[in-house]
Amino acid sequence: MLFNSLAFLAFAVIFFLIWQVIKNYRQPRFVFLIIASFIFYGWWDARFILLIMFSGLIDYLAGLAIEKYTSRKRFFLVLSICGNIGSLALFKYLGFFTSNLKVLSEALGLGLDIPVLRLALPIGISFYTFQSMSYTIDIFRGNLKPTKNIFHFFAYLSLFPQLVAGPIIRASHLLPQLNKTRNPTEKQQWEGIKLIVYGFFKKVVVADHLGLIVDLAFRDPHPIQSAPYWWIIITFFAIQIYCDFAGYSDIARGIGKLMGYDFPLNFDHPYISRSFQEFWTRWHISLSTWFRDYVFYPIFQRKITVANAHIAMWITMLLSGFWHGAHWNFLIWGGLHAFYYSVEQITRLPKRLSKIKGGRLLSTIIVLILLWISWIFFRASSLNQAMEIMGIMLNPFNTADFEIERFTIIIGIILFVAILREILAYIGFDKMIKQYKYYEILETVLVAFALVGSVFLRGTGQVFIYFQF
Amino acid sequence: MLRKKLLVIAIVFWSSVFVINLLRPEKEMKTIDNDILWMHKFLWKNKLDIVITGDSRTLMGVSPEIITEHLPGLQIGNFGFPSLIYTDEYFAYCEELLKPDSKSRTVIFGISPRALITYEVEYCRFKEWSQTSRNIFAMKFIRHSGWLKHYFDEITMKDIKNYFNPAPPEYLSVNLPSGWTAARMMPENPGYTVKSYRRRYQELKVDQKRVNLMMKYTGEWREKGINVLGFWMPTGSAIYFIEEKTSGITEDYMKNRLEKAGGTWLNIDTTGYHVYDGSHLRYDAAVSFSHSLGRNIKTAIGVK
Repeated sequence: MLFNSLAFLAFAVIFFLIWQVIKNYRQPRFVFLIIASFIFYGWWDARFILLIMFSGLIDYLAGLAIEKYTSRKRFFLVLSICGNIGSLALFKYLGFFTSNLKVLSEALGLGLDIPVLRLALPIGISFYTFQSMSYTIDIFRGNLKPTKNIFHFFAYLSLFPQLVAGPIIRASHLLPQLNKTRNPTEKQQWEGIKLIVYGFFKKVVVADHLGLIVDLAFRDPHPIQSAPYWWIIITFFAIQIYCDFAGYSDIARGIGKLMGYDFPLNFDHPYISRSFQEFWTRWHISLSTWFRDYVFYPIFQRKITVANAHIAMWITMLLSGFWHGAHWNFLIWGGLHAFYYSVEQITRLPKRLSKIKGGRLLSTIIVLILLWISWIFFRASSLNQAMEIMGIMLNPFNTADFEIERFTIIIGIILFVAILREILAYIGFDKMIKQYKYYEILETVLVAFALVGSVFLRGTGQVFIYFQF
Repeated sequence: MLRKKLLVIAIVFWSSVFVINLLRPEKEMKTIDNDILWMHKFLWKNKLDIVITGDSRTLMGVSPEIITEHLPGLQIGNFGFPSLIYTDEYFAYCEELLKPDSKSRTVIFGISPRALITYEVEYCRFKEWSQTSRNIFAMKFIRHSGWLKHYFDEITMKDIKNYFNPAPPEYLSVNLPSGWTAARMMPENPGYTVKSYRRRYQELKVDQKRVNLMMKYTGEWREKGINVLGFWMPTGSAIYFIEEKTSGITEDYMKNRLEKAGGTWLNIDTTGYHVYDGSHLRYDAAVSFSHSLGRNIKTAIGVK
C-alpha cells in the first residue's frame, strides 16, 4: 500500500479509530499491529507475508536460543544471519550472480549453460531483513534481552509505517516502546502531523515533479550531448531522491509519533554537508549507523590501524552500495563514496578548507559536485549509460542545444522552494526562526500551505524509489 | 493548542480549495474524468462480448456505440489506453474482460506499430491502473466520488495560462462509458505529431518479441474458441508512410502473421479518414470508421 494512495487514506482512518481503543491492551495491541501491518504489506503481494513470517520466525527462535544456549550462541547467530542473507541472496541477488556467472563462463570459454534466474523482489526485503538481523546480533552481543512473546517480536518486525522503506529501527529502540501503552502528547501529535504533511509535500510535490523530467532524460537512448543539461538533470535527480526517500521517512516517523512511538531521524539536510564523513551522518542515517555498528566496527576493531580503518570503510561502502541493488552501478556508487571518503581522510581537505575564508562553502560545493557524479551511477539503467552520461558531463565542450522536457514555471517555483529550504538550513536560519515571537502561528500556516500544495501541486504519482531496494 | 492549530489548518485549506476552484478556468468538456475512465475500464471484468484493444489511436478512433448499431445486444468495450504497449499483462487482462458464457467472445487488435515498439511501459495508464484495479472497492469509491475529485484536481500550467490569457481550448475530448474518447483539436494541426514519430522510429523499432507475444495469445485464444480479429488502425498519410518504412513492420506483414496464428484480418480501407493531429482520428472520422469496422466485425464473427 502506498502512503500516497486513497487506499492508504482509508486504511489509516480505520487503523487509528481502532488504535485509540486497542492500544491500551498489551497483547491485543501486538496482534492488531501485526494484522494491520500484514494488510498494509500484503496489498502488493500477499504471498510475501509468508517470507516475513519465515525469516522472522528464524530470528525469533534464534534470539531465544542465543540466550538459553550460551555455549552455542555463535551457531544460532550464524543461523539467523544465514536465514536473512539467504533470503536476500535468493530474492534479490540470484539474478545478478547467475547472469555474471554466465558472462564469466562465456568469457572464459567454459561452455557452461548457466540459466539466469530471477525471482520477484519482495518489497522492502532489504529493510526488514536488516532490522531483523539487528535483533539477533544485539542479543548475541548482550545488548538486548530477547522477547519471549512472539506477538511482541512480530509487532516490532512488521510495524507498517517503516516496514517497506525504513527507517531501519533497532530492536533495542523499538521493542521497549511497543511494550508500553503510549499516549502521545499534544506536542508529539503536532510533530507527527507536521512530519506527515511535510513528508507528503516532499514526495508528491517535489520528487514526483522532478522525477518525470529525470525519467524522460534517462529514457532517451541517445543522451543529449550537453554537459550543462546533464548537470541540471542530475541536480534534479539529487533533489528527487532526497525528497522521495526523506519524504517517506518523514511520513513513517509522523505516523509513528501519532501512535506514540519515536522513530529515529533518517535524513538531516544531507546536501549541506561539508565532508563525506558528515554526509553519511545526515543521509539515510538508520542504514549508515547499521553498517557502522554491524560491519565497520567489527572489522575495524580487529586491528585498530589507519590502514584497517580504510579497509573496513571500503568494505562497508561497497556492501552499502550492493545493499541498494544487485547491479554493478550500485557497487560503483558505493566504491566512489569509499574513494571520496578515503581521499578526504588522507588529505584532510575539509578541515584545511574550513580554515580559509569561504572554505566551508567551497567544501560543500566540492562534496555536492562529487555526490552528483556518484548519483549518475545510482540512477542510470546500465553501466554503459552511466559512463556515457558521465563522459558528457565532465567534458565542458559538450554544449549541444537542449530543452528540458516538461519543465514549467510551477516546477521552477517548487525547485526554488526546495533549494531555499536547504540554504536556510545551511545558514542556520531554521534554528534562529524558532526564537521568533509568532513562530508557532507561522509554522501552522506553513503546514497548512504545504497541505494545500500537496493537493493542488502534486505531480504524477510515482512509487517511492526506495521500495525497489 | 493542538486544536487551534488544526482549526487554522482546516480554515486555510478549505479557503484555498474554495478560492482555487473559484479562479480555476472551466475544465475541458468531458463526460467522464480521464482517471475515472481508465478505472471504469477495469470494472468490465467478465462483462464484455467484444474487447477492442490498442493505444491512443484505438482509444480515439473506435466507437463501441457505433459498432453496437451493427451488432445489437452485444457488450462491446474500447480497452484502448494512451501510450499503451502490448504486454503479457495487458493481453491476459483483455481475456478476463470477456463474459465466460458469451457465444461471441472476441478480441480485436487495433494495430499501430507504436504499441509494439521496444519501449519502457512505465508511463502507460494501463499499467498504472492495473495495479489499482486489484482493489475493486477502492475503484468503485473513486468512480462514485468522481465529482468530488474535480475540486481537488492539480493546478496545471494550462490553468495558469488560461487564467491570465483566456483562450478557447485547443483540445476537446469527451470520454464515453464505452471506453471511447471522442476528440478534436482547434485549430487542427496535421503535422503536430509527425516530427515526433519520425524521431521515435529512428531510435526505436517494433519489438518482434511483442509481435510474437500477440500471435501466441491469438493461437491460445483461438483454441479456447475466442474470435481474434485484427486491423490496421487508420492514421494520417504522413505517419502511415513513416511507419510502413521505418517502424519495422508493415500492414501486410501483420496481416500475414495474424492469419498464420489463426486470427482474422479485417480488410478495411483505412485511407482518407480525417486526423486532427497527424495521428488520431477526429471524432466524426472515428464515427465513420466505426461504422465500417462494425460491418466487418459482423461478417467476420458471423453474427446475424
